[in-house]
Amino acid sequence: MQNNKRKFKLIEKLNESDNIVSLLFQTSDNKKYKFTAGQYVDIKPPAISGHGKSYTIASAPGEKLIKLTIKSKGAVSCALIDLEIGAELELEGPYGNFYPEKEMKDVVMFAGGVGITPFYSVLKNKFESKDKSKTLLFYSNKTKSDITFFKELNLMAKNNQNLKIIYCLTQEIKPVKQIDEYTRINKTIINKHVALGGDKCYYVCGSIGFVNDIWKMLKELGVLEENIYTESFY
Amino acid sequence: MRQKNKEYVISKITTGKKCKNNSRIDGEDWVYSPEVREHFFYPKNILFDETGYKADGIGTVGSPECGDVINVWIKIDKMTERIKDCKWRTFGCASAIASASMMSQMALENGGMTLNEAKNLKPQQIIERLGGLPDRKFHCSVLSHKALRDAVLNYFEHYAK
Repeated sequence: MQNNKRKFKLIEKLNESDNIVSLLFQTSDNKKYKFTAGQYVDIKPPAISGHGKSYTIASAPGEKLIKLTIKSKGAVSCALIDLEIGAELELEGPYGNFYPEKEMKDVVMFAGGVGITPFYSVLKNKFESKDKSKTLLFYSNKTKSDITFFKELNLMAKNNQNLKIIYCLTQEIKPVKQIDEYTRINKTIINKHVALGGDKCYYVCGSIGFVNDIWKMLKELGVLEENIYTESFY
Repeated sequence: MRQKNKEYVISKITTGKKCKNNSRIDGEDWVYSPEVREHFFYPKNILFDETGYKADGIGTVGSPECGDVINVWIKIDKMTERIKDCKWRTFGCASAIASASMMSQMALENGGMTLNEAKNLKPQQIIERLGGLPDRKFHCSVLSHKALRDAVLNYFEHYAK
């Protein structure tokens, strides 16, 4: 294994939703951090004994600061969120290959909760690079207040006719503005919004259960395994 | 002759009580399928000593989550661009060993995977062939698919002519 560790300084913290916080880091040497949209870094906070954890970079490669968007769950994540502004931390990576390898192919994305982070980076990068392929994003959350990057995603969709977002809420009782579906993502919903087949790639990110469910649904709907790409949080 | 994984026989996998489908459940309700147990007790394509093994591609991946590390060595048929041999070694749990063993078996089936197929192997494909893994062991299948991909990329980078 290569030693790909770099030191970063925590610059800012942003509350994104009820229990999601974004941490903005700058490289300690002020040099650019090279990564591909959709990749992740490994972190072991000094306050934690034992193993660290992997976090997807939510910022786009061209941005000055590295954004890690983290759910306040588990010892490692909570230790990161508790870091003081100015604290230094080692990030190892970037790793992973959760990004479109075939350019200009239409993409269907499925995000569950904080699983939006790689897609947010990929989408920002995609539209900044004037990629003309079409993207449909299914984004599932429990309630509207759980939706991370809600304003930013809506703005992105408003400014890019090639992006369409389908918001699905699983625990919202009353109809909410800008929300499309009030159930878990299922085969009926997928069929309703996507013309399956053709030259499309399918990307799925979220909890293990979410990813495995979507994987099975897509296969049952006839999508080839080679066109499905997955990333799970564990 | 099958080589039994003696080092790991005394593990929590043997301490559970039997359930109806003959899988075992331990104190944390982990259920191991017959396929997982087969690949754990009789791992396929394991390489204990790589000295003298001339690989065309080498992959090494570690997981900070569980501390498991896996090494994968592949040999490529240059004419067909298919994997003709796939070896591995891991320092990991029962699920990591079973996942790596299954990954190597899949890589060699039907005349060997093409490089593109190997690069795009998904953790879900390994899990399906293992008859399932507990969620908390999902990362073991991720390690195996990443290590195989790493070996293919290593082949492209350093060995492909």
